Amino acid sequence: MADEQKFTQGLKNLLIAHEFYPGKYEQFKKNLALSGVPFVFTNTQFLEILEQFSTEFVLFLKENTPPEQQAEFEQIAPGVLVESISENLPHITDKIEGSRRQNIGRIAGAYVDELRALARFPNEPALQQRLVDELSKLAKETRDPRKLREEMGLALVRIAATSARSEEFGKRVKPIAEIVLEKADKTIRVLAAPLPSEEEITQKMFEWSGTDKARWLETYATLASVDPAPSFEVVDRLARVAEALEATPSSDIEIKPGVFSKIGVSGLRQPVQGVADALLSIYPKNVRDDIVRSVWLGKIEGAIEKTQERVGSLIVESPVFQNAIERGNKVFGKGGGRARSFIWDLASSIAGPPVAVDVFVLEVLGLAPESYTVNQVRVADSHSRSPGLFHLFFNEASGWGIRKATSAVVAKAGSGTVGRWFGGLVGAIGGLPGVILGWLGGSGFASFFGRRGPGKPQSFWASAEWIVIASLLFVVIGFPILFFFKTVSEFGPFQGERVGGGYGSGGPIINCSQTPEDPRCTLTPCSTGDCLWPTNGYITQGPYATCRSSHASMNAVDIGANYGTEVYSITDGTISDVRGRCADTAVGPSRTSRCNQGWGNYVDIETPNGAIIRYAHLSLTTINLVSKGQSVTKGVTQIGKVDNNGSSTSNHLHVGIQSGPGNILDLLPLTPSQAQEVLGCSNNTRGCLDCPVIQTGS
Amino acid sequence: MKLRYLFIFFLIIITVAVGAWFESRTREKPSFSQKLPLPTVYVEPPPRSIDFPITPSGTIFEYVGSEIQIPTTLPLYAVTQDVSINALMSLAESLSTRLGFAASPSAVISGDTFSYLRNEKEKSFVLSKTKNIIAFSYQQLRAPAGISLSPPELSANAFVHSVFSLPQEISLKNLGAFDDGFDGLVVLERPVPGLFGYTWGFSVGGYGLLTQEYSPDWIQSVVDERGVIRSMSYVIPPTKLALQGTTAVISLTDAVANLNAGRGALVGVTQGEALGYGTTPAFVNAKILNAALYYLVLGSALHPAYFFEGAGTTASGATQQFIAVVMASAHP
Repeated sequence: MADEQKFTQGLKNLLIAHEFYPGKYEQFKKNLALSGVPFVFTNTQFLEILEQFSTEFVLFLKENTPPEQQAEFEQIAPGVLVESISENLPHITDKIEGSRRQNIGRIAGAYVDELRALARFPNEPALQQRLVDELSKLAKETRDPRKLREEMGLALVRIAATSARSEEFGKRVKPIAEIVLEKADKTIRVLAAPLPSEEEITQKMFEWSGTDKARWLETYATLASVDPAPSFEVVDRLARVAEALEATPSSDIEIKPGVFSKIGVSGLRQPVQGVADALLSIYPKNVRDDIVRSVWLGKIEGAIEKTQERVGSLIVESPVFQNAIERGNKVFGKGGGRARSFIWDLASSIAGPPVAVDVFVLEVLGLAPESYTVNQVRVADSHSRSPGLFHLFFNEASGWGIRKATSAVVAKAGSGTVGRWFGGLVGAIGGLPGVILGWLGGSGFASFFGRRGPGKPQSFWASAEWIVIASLLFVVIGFPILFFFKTVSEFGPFQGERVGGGYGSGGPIINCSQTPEDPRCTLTPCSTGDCLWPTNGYITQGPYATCRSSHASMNAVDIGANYGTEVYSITDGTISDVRGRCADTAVGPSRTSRCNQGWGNYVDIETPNGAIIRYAHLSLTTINLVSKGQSVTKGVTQIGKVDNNGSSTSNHLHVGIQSGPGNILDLLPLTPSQAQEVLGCSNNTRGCLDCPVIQTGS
Repeated sequence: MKLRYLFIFFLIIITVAVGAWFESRTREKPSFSQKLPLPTVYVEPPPRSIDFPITPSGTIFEYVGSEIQIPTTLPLYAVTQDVSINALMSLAESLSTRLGFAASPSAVISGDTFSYLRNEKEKSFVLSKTKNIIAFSYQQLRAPAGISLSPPELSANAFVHSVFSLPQEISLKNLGAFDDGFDGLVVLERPVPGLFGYTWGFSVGGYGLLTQEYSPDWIQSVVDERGVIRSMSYVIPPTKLALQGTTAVISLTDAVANLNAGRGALVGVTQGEALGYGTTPAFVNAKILNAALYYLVLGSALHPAYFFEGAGTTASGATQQFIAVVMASAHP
């Protein structure tokens, strides 16, 4: 670059830097005039140019600045204006004399317009490309994460500064730079984001066109403040792939299969396709259109698959992806042992990506709109209560906008959803064989035949009609299977029914003909008709909630209640044990407390039929209301108050039959249908049904 | 061709299911090591306040974890938990008002026991002082409508960090998240929103602080997916620490030997992977997998103590996880 051009650029940059300081811009415009050289610079160039300015030039500028503003002017670039370059002064003079303010005004105005458009994230491929170019260059040039963050911040500050001429616009754009510079600002943005309703979320997802995916550009800025190094590693890699694809004639694309194909988890192709979509969105429009047209017109056989595998291998290897998967699994992999989680992950990978992966794609690659944060994704997932359905939304949103692809995606996600439902239904009745058969006949079978992605010849199996056919097949094949397992249960090794623990929870198989004394077989809710609640609250966990270790084998109910709520005996009997010692709420995080073996303060009452009923987590302040050997009267004798000591998360009463005959549900005023709902329920635990909202007592 | 793929698909599923089942049944067996000799330095065990008075007879605890660095001396601290009733009232008023309680409070003062309570229909707050332990808990059964979205962890952290000004010597320590169930937590919305649990502890001089219940967890919070705090339990750490010289620390080997000699406390035993109610210890061998030094709040002082986590195998082959605490001071 010629010195003159460098100098001009540096001057412009300085001017732009001044725009960041309100009130200075107009003043400098009066003093300086600049040429209309196209506005192109990088941060490195910016620093190089600034270094060429001499102290004399600074003084020159100062002379043209009102005295009261000179102090602020010195803050422009402290320390970088070094070494005299007096040889450039003639150029400065020329520029001033030339008085080309119109030019700079035009350029600055155009740039501001571009930035305004960029801030609104319209479909502006040139702008997107420009920003991506700059970011990827920075990522390549700077390997030190801290330095990279600074560079990134400077780059965005420049953007913000350029736009600051319009104060209102500056207010909007400036936070983008600040997000990079201040990690906490992501939080502010998230806090400010309104929570859309379920309908709004659904609507947005369907309205979300492919072109809107350009919004992910902004997410890079956010990511930079969160985890700069791996994020930009991804950016860098994506950019390299983009460049490679761009530079390669489309007919010569030769990409070897990556890790994805090696691990064979076909479900993971879906997020990769999302990545590929995002990648395509940063291509120049002509390249993107060419690729899309070529693929869909069959000019490049398998190009998308190859791209997916290549990009997939890069993504899978990236720490961001690994962390996100790990984090996603932590968030969404509640409940169950490692084996079940493993099966769940694998099965859902085959039938469709786990929600965690979807969330990762939406969050990390920022396919979501600006306000659509990961938390809202979680809300959406929570509301939809169907990973498959949510997945369908995701696919719709990140799809190609081409009806054929949508059809394939609908077939795949829909059949996966139905399959999961079918698998769970069969599994809930048929035990392990049912689970396996359910998966095979459901998500596995349907997903297998429904798995026809973009680029493959479209067939009947890849059509949305397959959902209907698959559903019919489930009805025709599935119901006989259910009856088959019902029949087998009476003769074979899979005797009995899955009891408790809720839908698909893997509850135990109980054969009541062999173990008639099992409380789950003797459930006769409140046969006496005069049952009582021990306290006022809400049921939070039922007996034999197999998804939780704490109640897996317990014949007991948890009733969440306010601290200090009175607890009464629900039977006549005699106090057989009283254990105190655990201070009220003082064990605080009592989930890990072992006070009295985790029971906290408790009272045991022996009933006339020999059962021992335990009332646990009682307040220490009232543990002496009763004493060992004392007789108690049902509904009359207060035995304590509710607290949160022992192994507990919240104030609640644990009441259960510690030993002896009967089911605790028989002693509570529940209807038969309520008792069935409570049996095995557990709130807030994946793998169990939520307990019904049953208010106990008055 | 399709049948071939179908067969392979079925085979993979079955193989994975069987493999995963087998994997879940198999546990890594820690290597066996030599029995440790009894040490020459014995220290008094912590009081046996936890309800495991009897260690299974014949059990030998062996340390099989990785090598850890143990200092030869550690500072000793005198602790003060001197908060006046007025200060407690003020704290309770401040916190409950901040949590949006409108109901009138009720407070009970009985000797050294203080209890401040605010119950509303769908939320409650209690701050208590019993046995010189000050704690508060808060529960919200239903999230108010219209609350802005906030990351759960951020909400919890923001609240926890703003509750008290800790003494200079004590630091708040984030102990991570949990989502393995929330016993007794009432959430009235259906479907139940996503819930996230977080715990915090405290540390002194880089060493974690154990509660008087031998737990590293002092603070626990459950936050929903919108960032609304649904439950919080907070045990207030000592309000003042005073350095009182140093104490020699026994070696890890000596600590394990003390445990074997009955000079330790088996403070928790569970059977199974998740937390739950304790079971009677019945293991015939016990491997200590992790060891760490903590400060234990005992009476009016902080004492260094070894915190052991491990697993034992019962005669029937079941695995029991245990936690044990052994005093680390050579001169109690």
